[in-house]
Amino acid sequence: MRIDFKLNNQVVSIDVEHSKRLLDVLRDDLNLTSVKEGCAEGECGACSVLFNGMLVNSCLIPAVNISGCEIVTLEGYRGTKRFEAIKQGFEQCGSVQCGFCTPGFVLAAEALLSSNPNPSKDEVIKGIEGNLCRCTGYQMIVDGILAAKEVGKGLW
Amino acid sequence: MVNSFWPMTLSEALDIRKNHNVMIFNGGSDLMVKYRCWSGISVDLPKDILYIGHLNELKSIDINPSEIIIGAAVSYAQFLKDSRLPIEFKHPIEQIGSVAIRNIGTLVGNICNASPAGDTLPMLYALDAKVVIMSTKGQRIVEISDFITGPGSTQLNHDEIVTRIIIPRKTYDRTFYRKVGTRKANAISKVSVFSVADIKESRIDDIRICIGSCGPTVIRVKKIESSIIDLRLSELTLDIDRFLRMYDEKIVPIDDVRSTKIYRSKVACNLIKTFLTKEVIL
Ligand SMILES: Cc1cc2nc3c(=O)[nH]c(=O)nc-3n(C[C@H](O)[C@H](O)[C@H](O)COP(=O)(O)OP(=O)(O)OC[C@H]3O[C@@H](n4cnc5c(N)ncnc54)[C@H](O)[C@@H]3O)c2cc1C
Ligand code: FES
Ligand code: FES
Repeated sequence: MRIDFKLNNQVVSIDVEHSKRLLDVLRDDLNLTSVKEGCAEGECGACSVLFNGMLVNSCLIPAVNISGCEIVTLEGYRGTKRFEAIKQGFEQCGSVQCGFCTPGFVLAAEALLSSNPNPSKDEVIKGIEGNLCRCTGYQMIVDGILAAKEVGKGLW
Repeated sequence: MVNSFWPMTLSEALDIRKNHNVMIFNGGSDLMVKYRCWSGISVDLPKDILYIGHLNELKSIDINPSEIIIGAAVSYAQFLKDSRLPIEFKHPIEQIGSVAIRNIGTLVGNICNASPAGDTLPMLYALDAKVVIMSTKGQRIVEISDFITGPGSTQLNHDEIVTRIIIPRKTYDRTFYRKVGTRKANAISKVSVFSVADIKESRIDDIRICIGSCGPTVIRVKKIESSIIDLRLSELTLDIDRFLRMYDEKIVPIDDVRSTKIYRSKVACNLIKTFLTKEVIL
């Protein structure tokens, strides 16, 4: 079926099966490989994207549900000032090791900061509860988001 | 390949439900996992799909003096954001899944999935929630404890759609919720307990204790509840062990990958004890 939606600020029209996962639409049809497949069952957050500004797991969204909606992946988000702030925070705190989980954590951080620009440490931990990282032990990612909120003060 | 229906209105959805053999797809957080396939291949849905998660008619939370009415497509996130709803009713919901899961998962999807570990269920049983079911013929309203008939099964007919949940609007002197899972997020409950109580002049005026994940459906034993009601708090104190033994007999958990029977029974009784001693008696 034909599905029109907005992807990273551009109008896109695709022809796919209604139940194709948004994850596959983004990676295979649209070559947006920042969206990673980890668990394929909603548990790891590697496939996170923003759906009308909300954090979702793209492995759980059927293509039909994005019709008329706005999707942002890291490829689109990285052009923003907010991304620069998160990038700096992550660099300062060593929040990235292998990097597989990073696109998901960056978008989880954006979803958190856009609803709560000044989160406490506990609120940061809750905000990234659905994202798994095999490398960092999380502490550095929590620190990275806390640093980002300072670097980017006023942006959210 | 299965067909899909994307109705524009609820009445169109009810017509489709009547005339086709379809599976209802709401937020999809259970279905997309249950029927997942390999990367690059569409989800292997077993029959034609009726999408309802986008219907505006099912997206409202309405509150009147006696009821809280929750539409079928209301997500956990929408429920949590609604400042009109009591904070006690939000405790079980904020511990479900993760941020991203709560953005798509719905309370009604959780009820219709009818998992013994469904985390909305102990609360909805304790609050005497009702399920509103519609078909082209009209609507019927059933108690949640009658709606769910076993693990994964409900009394929904092939031509019906659940459109709302009704929670009687009432405040309670005491509310209690604990979920025990393997980790804090994205964890399926091993045991959960939701309870409420009202106390008037040092007597129990009302008490409801609901246990999740410890049987084929939520366990609520009205007989034990009515033997606690009207007791003085001092009498309850003396009788706690007897009531716990009565609950222990009613709790019939299973051994599975997540936990054992013995652990579940022990933890469920400990949680009921905590509720009675730390919340009710004080
Ligand atoms: C990573 C992850 C974590 C999770 N964590 C939890 C958790 O902590 N606690 C918990 O309880 N659950 C959890 N779940 C399960 C799931 O998110 C919930 O059960 C959710 O409430 C399902 O709602 P949905 O709208 O997404 O359901 P769907 O997948 O759309 O539907 C579920 C079932 O209900 C039926 N159905 C849905 N709506 C209707 C309707 N209106 N009328 C008739 N039938 C209907 C569908 O046909 C299907 O059989 C988790 C799932 C995932 C993937
Ligand atoms: S791949 Fe989607 S959450 Fe893990
Ligand atoms: S940096 Fe390797 S998984 Fe997180």
